[in-house]
Amino acid sequence: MLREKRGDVRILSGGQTLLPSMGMRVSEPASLIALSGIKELSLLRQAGKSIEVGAMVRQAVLEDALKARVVRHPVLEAILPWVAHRPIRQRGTVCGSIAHADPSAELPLALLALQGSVTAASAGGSREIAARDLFTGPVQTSLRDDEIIVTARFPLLAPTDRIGFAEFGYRHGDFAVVSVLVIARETSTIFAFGGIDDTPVRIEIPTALADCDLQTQLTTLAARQTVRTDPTASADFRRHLMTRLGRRACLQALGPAQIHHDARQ
Amino acid sequence: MKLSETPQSLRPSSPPDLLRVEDGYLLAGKGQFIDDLPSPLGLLHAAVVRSPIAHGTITSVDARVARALKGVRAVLLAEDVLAWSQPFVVSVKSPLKQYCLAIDRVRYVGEPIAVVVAESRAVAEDGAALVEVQLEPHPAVVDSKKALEEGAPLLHPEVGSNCIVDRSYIYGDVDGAFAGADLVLEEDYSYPRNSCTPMETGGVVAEFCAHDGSYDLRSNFMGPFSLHVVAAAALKVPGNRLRHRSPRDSGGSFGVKQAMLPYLVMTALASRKAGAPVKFIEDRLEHLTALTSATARSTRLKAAIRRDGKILALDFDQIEDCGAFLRAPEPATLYRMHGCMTGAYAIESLRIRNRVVMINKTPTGLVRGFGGPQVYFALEGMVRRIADKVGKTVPEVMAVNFIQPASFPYRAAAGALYDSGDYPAALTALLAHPIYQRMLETKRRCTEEGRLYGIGYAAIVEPSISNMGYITTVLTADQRAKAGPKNGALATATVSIDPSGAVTVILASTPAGQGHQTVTAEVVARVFGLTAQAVVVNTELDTQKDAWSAGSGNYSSRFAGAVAGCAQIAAIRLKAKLSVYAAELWHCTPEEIIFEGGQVRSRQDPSQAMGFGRLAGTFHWSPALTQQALGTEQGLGLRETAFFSPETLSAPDAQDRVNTSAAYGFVLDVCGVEIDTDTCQVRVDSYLTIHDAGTLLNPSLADGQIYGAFAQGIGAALYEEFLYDVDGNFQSGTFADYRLPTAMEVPRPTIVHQCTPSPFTPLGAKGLGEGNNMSTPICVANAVGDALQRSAITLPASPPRVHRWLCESGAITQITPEQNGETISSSASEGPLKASGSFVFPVSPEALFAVLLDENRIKRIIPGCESISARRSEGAVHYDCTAVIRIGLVKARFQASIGLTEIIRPESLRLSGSGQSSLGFARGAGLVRLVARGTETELHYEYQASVSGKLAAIGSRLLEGATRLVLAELFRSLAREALGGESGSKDVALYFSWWQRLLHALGLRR
Repeated sequence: MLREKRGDVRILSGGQTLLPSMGMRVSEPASLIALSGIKELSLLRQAGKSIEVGAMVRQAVLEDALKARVVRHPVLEAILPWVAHRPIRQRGTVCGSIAHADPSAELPLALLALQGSVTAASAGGSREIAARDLFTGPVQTSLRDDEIIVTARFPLLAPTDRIGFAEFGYRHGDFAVVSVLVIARETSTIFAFGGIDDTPVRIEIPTALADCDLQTQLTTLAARQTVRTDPTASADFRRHLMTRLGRRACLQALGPAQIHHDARQ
Repeated sequence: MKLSETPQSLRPSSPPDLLRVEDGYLLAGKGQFIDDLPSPLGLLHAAVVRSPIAHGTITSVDARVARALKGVRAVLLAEDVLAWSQPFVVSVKSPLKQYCLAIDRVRYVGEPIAVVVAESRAVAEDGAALVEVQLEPHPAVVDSKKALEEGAPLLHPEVGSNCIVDRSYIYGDVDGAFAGADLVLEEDYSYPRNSCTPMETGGVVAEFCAHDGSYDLRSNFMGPFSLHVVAAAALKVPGNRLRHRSPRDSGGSFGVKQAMLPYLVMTALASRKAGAPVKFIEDRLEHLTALTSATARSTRLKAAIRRDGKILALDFDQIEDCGAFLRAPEPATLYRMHGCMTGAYAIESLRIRNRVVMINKTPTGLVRGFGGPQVYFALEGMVRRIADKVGKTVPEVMAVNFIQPASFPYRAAAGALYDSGDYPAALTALLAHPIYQRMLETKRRCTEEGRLYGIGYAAIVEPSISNMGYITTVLTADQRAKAGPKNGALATATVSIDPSGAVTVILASTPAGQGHQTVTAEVVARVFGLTAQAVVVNTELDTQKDAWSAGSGNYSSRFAGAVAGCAQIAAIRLKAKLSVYAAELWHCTPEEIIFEGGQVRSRQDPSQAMGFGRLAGTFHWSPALTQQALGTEQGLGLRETAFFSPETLSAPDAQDRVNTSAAYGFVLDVCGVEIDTDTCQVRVDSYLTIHDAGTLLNPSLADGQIYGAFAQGIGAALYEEFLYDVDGNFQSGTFADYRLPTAMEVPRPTIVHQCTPSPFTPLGAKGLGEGNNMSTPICVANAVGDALQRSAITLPASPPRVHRWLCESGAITQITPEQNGETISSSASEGPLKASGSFVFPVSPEALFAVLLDENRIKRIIPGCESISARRSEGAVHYDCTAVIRIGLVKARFQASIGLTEIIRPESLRLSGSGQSSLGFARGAGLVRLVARGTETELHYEYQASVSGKLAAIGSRLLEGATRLVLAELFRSLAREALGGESGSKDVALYFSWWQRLLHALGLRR
């Protein structure tokens, strides 16, 4: 069906973006394919060195599974409370957010920062797409019209990895103006920024976080990156947030107790 | 005067467990809102075709395709509107004509152009997308000061200017005061466009009755019902042929449902066109884009000051943005506050210049707080400045200037007659309050620690029960004499007792959730010695059956002061009748009859008693007896309609002095805010609000009003603003972009009540629903100014603005971006999307030109191009094409025309294009230069693009990225096509490496 109707059909998973778009008639697909009836897509498990999340796993299900320690992943645990509001997470799916590829969304940011991947399936078979090849522009992915994401794969952290996450949105549950995820590895540091450009951005530097001069490092990052201006925020303000939120995230990663993120619900 | 801190218990007459009457059915989902009413037989649904652009000429509207769609039953067009209606009347006389649909020209984004009527809303929307509207865009003007400049685009050429009102007023010896002042301060203030957004949007069900040419309407229009007269005149029928019924419930209004007026007429005419009843329910996008807005105001305020901080004179120069049309009752936002422009201060001399300006934005109207924040933002900002200048604290300056309690009733310079108050006592209460003490302490501590903490104040007078005549202050005394005097504000209520002895009250107050039923039941029950539960209050309003007047409706905080008092007057009249009859029965005087606990009895002889119902029932079951006792005039029937208009509300006098309202409450606020230099966010640390609204009828509902107004005040202070770009494209069409604060963003204020009863209202009550809409934005702005040590604050004080201020003050260092070679710069902040750049193509200039000038080849490079045709002339080619653009979920089919002009082959050309789709209008123009570099071509371009309509309203955050995406797609296809043409076969490797560089340059991928 996807192949036949090329572009005139939409996949419905959580519907938290698609349905309002249809309501406002900016999206008018001739057909919808609802995934909710496909049991196999509700898979959520740790497989090897990754957490695998099926296409119909709602964000709240993953959030609860993390809380209950059914699966463990400090990055996902840190970001999920920042994904919209809990009622939206009850419907919205992890893979849906990734497929939508909003540049300010947390789940694409995490997938990219962790160098995760998705399995894209079509009638002709399936392929693995690395996160860095998936996000190609603002709400743009390299998925073909006849493909859907069936699984997202979030690699686990190494036991020595430390993380920090900070985000700023204007109101509770708003899209991030800027979000920063820091993963401190033994000999390198990963900075991932959301909201600054057309896609999330991942930068890895070959220095351990503890050996970084935070101020210089963050200012250099903010000055070097392409940062966009839009009616919600200027590039200057976003650069400022990159350094200040970056600092908060770094301090979390360096701090004694892991994950000090706000207890957003 | 009494001071009491909330919460208070309910009044003794109402049992402490009496909850709001309304809550039972509302919480059970049994509300009766406009969209819930049973549908009339054959009901059809309307969808409105709206202007995607801010300014332009309508060259054609073709509804044939829409009309042919299955299920579409009619399309209302401008020609129908011209045939069946007249322009809306406004108080200002001018050649400006306004109908419910745009005629010949559109002047704001969202302006209705046509109405499609169909068997369902969905089909109507399908039809609306098929109405073909041809528009020729004009330059737009979106800034009221620019609109006054020579050569600014004119919205209404027949008016000859964008300035429709320019009036000046002088009260007292202004020049003398300025000449004798120790200090003159002058400052510019500008207050933004915002609104209060009800949960339920506007809705109308209309039916044209062909048999007598009348219209039968139901809607959640909130009044003032003076506008019923305007609507009837527009429909060319007498008032009694325009029946309007208001449902019991309205899901919030806050003033904005006054702006339903044009929709009433539009839906009525749509019904006439369709020959069937028609329903129109606004959607959220329509509501935010095109219903209404508060006015934006630019004020230059000059103050003459004595050394001790005493204000000797004020000089206001106000420029009011009323949007594209002056819509009744505007320019009321300016004049509602006219009498009390001097606020809470005893200032003898006052000069005001008012200019009302038309710009390409949605027409303005009533929004809770109506005119208050615009005035107090300047006045209270000035008080802060004065304190700074004379080396005093703000409370000290307030104390020097406050009107003294002994002066009440106090006549303000411009004519307001303040009824009662004790402002110094409120200030004393504030200074002594532990919350205030804590704020001072926190500020001391934060200052020591280098944190940014500020304290702000606002003292405001809150007018309620407006004088209808105030709007005529815009006219000269001569014009007023010709038009006849207008003054007062007639409130009405009807109380009746039925044959079972049960009491029913009918109100013409069209409430929107405030609890009018509860309060009225309490007031009337108290008169009759009944329980509030025994009284039923009906708030539906039927203009054909109920008592109503021009002053009816839900506005100007008039319920507590006027309407509830009116119900009491009617109840007292009925009680008098019952007393006379009982006195006759028990041989005593009417004064000796007591109503208590559901019984009526004689004070002298306790054995003489009767149930209330039985006594009242006599009037129904034994009219001969009551007639005998009271006479025919008084003895028949138990239904009383009372009317009330405050006597103090006279028409403006020859010197333009006007008592703009009947009651003047007082609000004194103080708040402490801290600015987080990481996020640049303002956090309200604590907030104290002291209110004097005279007698409180129901303290918990009073507090509810204050909490609500406060939340909206926080929205105006920190979050909410209607954003337009320089071309007038509206950018706040959803609650993602129009940032209404949620419960998470609104702190809880501490409320203190004072009580100096009004001598001018029946219950001693004053309005209190709007005070914090007037005070809170200003109090927070002043606190932000204090924290930043900055005088000019713009609202909302959003993080990007605070960031700019922090950079300007040097509190934070701006980060300078590093330039890296081949990138595309853009600055989309408030202007159109602009970009320029250069890029090397792996082909010759001639090869690129060969593609651009060949329609068969250009068809392959325009993304989603379905069809194309070319028109050629000297040095130019024009293409007309249809192209489908897809970005993420969004898909739009554009009818586009692309012009290649000023062609100097193979060096340069000018590229311009415009496209129209149901989602909006896109325009762009730019210069392209090609420079040969060996076998390659360096392409230099600069373009400016503008996207309007729905795309801009809901997707502004992603527009810039999307524009680049389309550009990238275009370049990619151009290179591919040119390469294919040049080498005969596509050079895959060359193309691929080139594509990677292009993506990099466009920042689309790393």
